[in-house]
Amino acid sequence: MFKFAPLGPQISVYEGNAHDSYVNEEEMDWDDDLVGNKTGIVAPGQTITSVTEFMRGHGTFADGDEVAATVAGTLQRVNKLLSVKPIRSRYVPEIGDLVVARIVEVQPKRWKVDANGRQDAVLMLSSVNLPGGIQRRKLESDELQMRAFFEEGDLLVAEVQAFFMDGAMSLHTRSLRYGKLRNGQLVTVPPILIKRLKSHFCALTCGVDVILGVNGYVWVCKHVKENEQVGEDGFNAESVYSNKNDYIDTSTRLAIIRVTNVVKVLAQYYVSITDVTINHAYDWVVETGHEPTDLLHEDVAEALIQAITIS
Amino acid sequence: MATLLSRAEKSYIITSLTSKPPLRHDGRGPVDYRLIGLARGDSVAPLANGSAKIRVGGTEVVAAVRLEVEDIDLELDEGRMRCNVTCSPAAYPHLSANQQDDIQKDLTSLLQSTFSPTKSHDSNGDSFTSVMSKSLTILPGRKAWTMYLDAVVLSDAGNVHDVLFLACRAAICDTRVPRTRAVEYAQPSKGSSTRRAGETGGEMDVEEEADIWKTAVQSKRAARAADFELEDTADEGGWLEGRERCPVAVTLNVLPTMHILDATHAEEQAVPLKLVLIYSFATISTQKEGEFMGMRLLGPGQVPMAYLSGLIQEGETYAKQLVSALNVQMEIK
Repeated sequence: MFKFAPLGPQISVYEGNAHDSYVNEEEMDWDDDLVGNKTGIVAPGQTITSVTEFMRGHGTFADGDEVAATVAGTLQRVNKLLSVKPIRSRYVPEIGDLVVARIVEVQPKRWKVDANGRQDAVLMLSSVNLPGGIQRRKLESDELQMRAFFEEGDLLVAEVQAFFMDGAMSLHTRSLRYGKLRNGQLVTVPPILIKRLKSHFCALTCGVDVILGVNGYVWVCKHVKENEQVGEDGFNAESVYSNKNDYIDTSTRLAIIRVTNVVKVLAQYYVSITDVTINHAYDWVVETGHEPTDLLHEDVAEALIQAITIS
Repeated sequence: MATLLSRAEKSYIITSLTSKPPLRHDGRGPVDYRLIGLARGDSVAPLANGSAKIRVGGTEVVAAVRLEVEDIDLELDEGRMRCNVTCSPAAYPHLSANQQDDIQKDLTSLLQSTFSPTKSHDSNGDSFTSVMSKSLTILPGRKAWTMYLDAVVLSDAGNVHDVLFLACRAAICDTRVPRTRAVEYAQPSKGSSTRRAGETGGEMDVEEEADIWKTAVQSKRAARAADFELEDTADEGGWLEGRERCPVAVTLNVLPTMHILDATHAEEQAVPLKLVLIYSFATISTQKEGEFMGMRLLGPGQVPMAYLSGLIQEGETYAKQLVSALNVQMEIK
């Protein structure tokens, strides 16, 4: 029941094969002057280049005549602009990103939302679906019952719509796929591990839905069948903004736990998290007959990472 | 981790826990602990007399013990312990400075009230605190070690009370008290100059040496000792007496039908009631009951009195297992 272990570093960064790095080598014809032309990985203070014609972007500084990195991360080059994308940072939003976020405050005509960025995001009352039809102007009565839509602590899935002057992101949930989240649990991972995919709503083969927020919040929940999706036949505000979970059987709950632990292990070893890697890892867990809790042990986690990165 | 949980998340956690079999969000059983990481000694705080670092999941606490010589009153007669808990701002990034202060004070007072000797409930003088504070005495009524126990909460991902007490226990068990020897100024039987009693000179004759030995021993009790000297360097010394009795805390997160141990941050928020139990055990091998050293009931929930006594008994069982697991790590028999 109580197990002890000598204390090591909290996260052992997975030193994967070269093809696991986030830099697509084929797109980059590295000049020989740039370091890290194999992996594209640089460490803080490391000289990137001594050629003066490059421009210094984010994550770099001028070290005499040389360009050096200020953060650990992957080197990126756009024409003559060099920048380093940090391995660990807060979420840097881009318009169109799908994010999972949590309401922290209800304000006049808007919600303050935690989306793992440097600043709180904003969700305007005018950018949510209002009851009684999708396209209609907001009324005073809507303003008075904002907590009926979202209250403090609620999780939602939304899209980054625009930026404010100060760089804060503005979200919107004007789609039937977006809105309040129910029937599952949240996992937090480093945002760099979530690539921008074609779709971030993933229905896994094991009958669990995963929403991969680009901001590093991953929502694991019970699968909702396409034809049972809320609001398909006309918008039903009561079910969209409901706080009640559906009935979830034990096997689904177990599958959700297994997916959660798989995502945690992938994040711990810094493997990028996509529907493919999760499915692959999940299948490995089922094939090898491991219980969900086994993934919390280091040796099983390492075996899992070995198995999914080699093939 | 975010501060709040949505209502749907809370009800998901509660429903999973109360289903059959009970499920937790990471698949652990209700009374399963996360892996406990332990580091101690010089790798944690080289300048402390004893130190340890414990990590359970994302919760991390460092504790260190520092001994300092203090002048004491005749009535007090023994060493004291001063506890202090600091929370790193990174542990509670969403809280204001005042709220963090509150948490720090709360944890400090819990530690201090557990570790400071209270004569009232300790009639036979047999408790951990009284045994420990006696062993901290250098010269009775004059000088004693004051034990400064400092703990830093580096991060909190749930179950901070248990981890804090584990770290403190590990640090106290790791502490070595420098051996001291009382010295007094005695008139030598021969010769006119005063000399320090503890000194051993090569030129001394056997008779004189025996005299000195006698005075040195006697002076421990006869309050004539003027001063003391260290027998060995700061790194050496004996273990703290009664260190095996140092208490641990076990937090039961109570739902109406069941309870869970080692709750994560999310579970702590979903479960309405936390019961922190602090136990000390004389020796694990004997079937002797643990000494109940403290209890805290936290959270807005309620629990019937009849149910509570059962919880306390179960808490003792868990505490016993936790202590024996830690003792193996700390090489305490």
